[in-house]
Amino acid sequence: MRVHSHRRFKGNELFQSMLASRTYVRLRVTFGLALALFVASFSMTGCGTLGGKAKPHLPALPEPARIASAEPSASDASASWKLTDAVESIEQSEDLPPEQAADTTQVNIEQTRVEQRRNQVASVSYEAPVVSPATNAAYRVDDGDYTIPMINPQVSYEAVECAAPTTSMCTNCGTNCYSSSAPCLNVAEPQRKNSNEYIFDGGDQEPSVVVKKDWTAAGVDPTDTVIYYETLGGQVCVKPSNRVPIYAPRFGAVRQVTGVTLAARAVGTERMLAPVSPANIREADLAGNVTVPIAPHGEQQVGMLDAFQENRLGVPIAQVVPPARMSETIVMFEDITFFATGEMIYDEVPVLGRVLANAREWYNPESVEVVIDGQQAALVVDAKRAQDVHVYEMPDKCAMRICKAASHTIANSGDIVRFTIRFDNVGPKPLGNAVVMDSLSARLEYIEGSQQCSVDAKFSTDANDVGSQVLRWEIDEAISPSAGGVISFDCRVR
Amino acid sequence: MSPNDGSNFFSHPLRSQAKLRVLLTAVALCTSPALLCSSAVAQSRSLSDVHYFLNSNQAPGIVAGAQVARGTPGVGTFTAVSISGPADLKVALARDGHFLPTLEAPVTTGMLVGGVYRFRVTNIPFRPGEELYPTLEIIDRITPPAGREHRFPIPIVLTEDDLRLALDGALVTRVIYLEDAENAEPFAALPGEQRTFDVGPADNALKTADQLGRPVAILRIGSRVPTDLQGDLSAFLFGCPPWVPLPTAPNRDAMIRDGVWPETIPVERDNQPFSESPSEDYPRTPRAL
Repeated sequence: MRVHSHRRFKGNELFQSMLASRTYVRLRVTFGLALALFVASFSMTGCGTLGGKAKPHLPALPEPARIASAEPSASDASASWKLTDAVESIEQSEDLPPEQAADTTQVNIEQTRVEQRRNQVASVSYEAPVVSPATNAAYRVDDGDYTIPMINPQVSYEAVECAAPTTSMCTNCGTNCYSSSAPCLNVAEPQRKNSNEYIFDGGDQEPSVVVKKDWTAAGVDPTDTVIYYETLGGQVCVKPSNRVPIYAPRFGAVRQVTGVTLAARAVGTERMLAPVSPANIREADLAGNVTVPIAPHGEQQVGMLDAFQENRLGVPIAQVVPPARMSETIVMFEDITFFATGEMIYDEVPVLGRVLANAREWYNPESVEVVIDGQQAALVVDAKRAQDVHVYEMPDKCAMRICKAASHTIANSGDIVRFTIRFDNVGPKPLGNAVVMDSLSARLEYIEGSQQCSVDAKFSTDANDVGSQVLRWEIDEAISPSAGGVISFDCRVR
Repeated sequence: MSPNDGSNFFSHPLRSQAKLRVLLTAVALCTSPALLCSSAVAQSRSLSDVHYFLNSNQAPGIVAGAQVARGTPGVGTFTAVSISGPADLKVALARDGHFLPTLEAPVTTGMLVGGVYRFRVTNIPFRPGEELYPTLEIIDRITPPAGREHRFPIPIVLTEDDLRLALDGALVTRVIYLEDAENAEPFAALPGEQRTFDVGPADNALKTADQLGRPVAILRIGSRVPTDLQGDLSAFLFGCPPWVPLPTAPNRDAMIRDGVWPETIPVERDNQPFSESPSEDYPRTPRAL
């Protein structure tokens, strides 16, 4: 089978293997999903819920601190939702200034409670919320290595990101960035009239940065700082950093030299003092006739072609079912609504089971396999239908966080300011092909050889439109969950 | 084949297309002037920030008076100003109708926005014994962080060329403006250096400065003799507007050399990826620049 390779995961065997497995998984999981439905509903009947207890085969959770929200929609899962709210409220209370805290002991107790509740949330949130069989069968299966997208996700994990990236300045982007307790300090944007006194660096000014097919970026305007990367699902993400202001006004002067001689030469012309008026009026130039406008006398009826008056409607496009083809092999199960749209219809459940049995023969290279806890799943065809559907959501989302800080908030011309960029993968899955780009302002000059990067990266510079430079770091390796890097470079203020 | 009864105008394909085209054209015609106007307004500064109806050739105080008349924010407050020039140049500010003892340039002081100041320049290196009485018109302010005003004064630079021209009888007008950071030119400015554009005698230097940034002060160099009206210099000194002294920015290297400032080594933490920079007030300055 040809691996549907995404671009160039340079020197990253781990990520390539993951991509390969992802492509393989698309085929496997499509079959396996349906089989898992049968397995969950028939072979495991009586359990009530698939995840009545924490499933040992489920993938390892990300760090509890990275779970920002868990939103089970069913009412039966409201316990975990409320618990998440409680944890978030406690996390917010951690941000209070020290003088507002009750006492140190109480804070320690609260922190311990927060950690305990985070763990509880992690476990509770991962238990499958119960969805009524009457509702639409939206679910997903995840065995840790791959994920297939499903409709109507019920549980989601969101990455912790910098708050207000375009209007805030990250002043402490060290290890505290891992915490969800507001790593960035919001700083008021300078007023418009005073903004000329500042040098800005960071953010993404309009037009926004877009990534081209050759993995270069367009729209990287001066002062822009972005990171773009690719997820396991093939999604290309662009994340701008926060905007860092540096107070560094620069003055110029417009000089005008005048003197007696120069002023006499420049001021006053005699022509302007003389009144300009018509000397005479010749009567021969007056108009002797009037042109009468021509008015239409009537309207001629133009016969319309009858052939064009027929409104012949075409075939409604909505009725055309797009083939959800996953390989060049023609397979029969594409006619089933489930494979075409992802919608599970109970009337098709018996057909689905029959088709899957046929598919095992027709589609020999990609035979259906479902393995749960190392045991081969048994397909049981019965008259019973699924009682519960459990949703496990591990979204393939953009989960990179980037923060930027400057060593000084005020600077004069000639000073050297060090910029630090920190990027972290705050999601549960690796992110690859990460490229950090920083287009410097015209007031900043990169000092050659001053850049440092804590991870292996290819560094290059290029001139930008305002006479400064665009710095580019291509991160060699994929960035694992909970991993990141730090970039630092010096600039001279012009 | 259905006849067109005319009741449903849009049902006819040709007419519906024509109608749609007319509607799109009308919408485009209606919105294009608004878009042009809005973009022009967005790209240009507001009229309250520019001085297009004024001229730098007008008498000192006209532009500042206009700023006061239209209530420009900052009028009536003090802003830091630094007067500098060639080495050994001396500057004397005026107070209570007479000039105070001279000070060696650079002189940093807080001046009133909207005021016109007359000061005396002496000890000109290449023209010993001669004096100049420039005027300085403060028309706008800057807003440095609190407590850092002394680090960011409005630079008033008396260049050697300007002093020569003025002593030879010319009137040199310099409109000092705050550069627009978004349209800044990528040249490396050395400390104490000020980029200067020359305009012709018939041009409006104030308007040119408006287009390059935000004018903050107008310096006129040309008066060589005080117009003593029977011993009263108040008119010549423009009423002696108040000014307040400001400390100059301390030189860390000089303080370390004099032993009044400790020479500390930056402390690096264990988990710190890169070396630490000096403190906020004393950024790293390149040695060979």
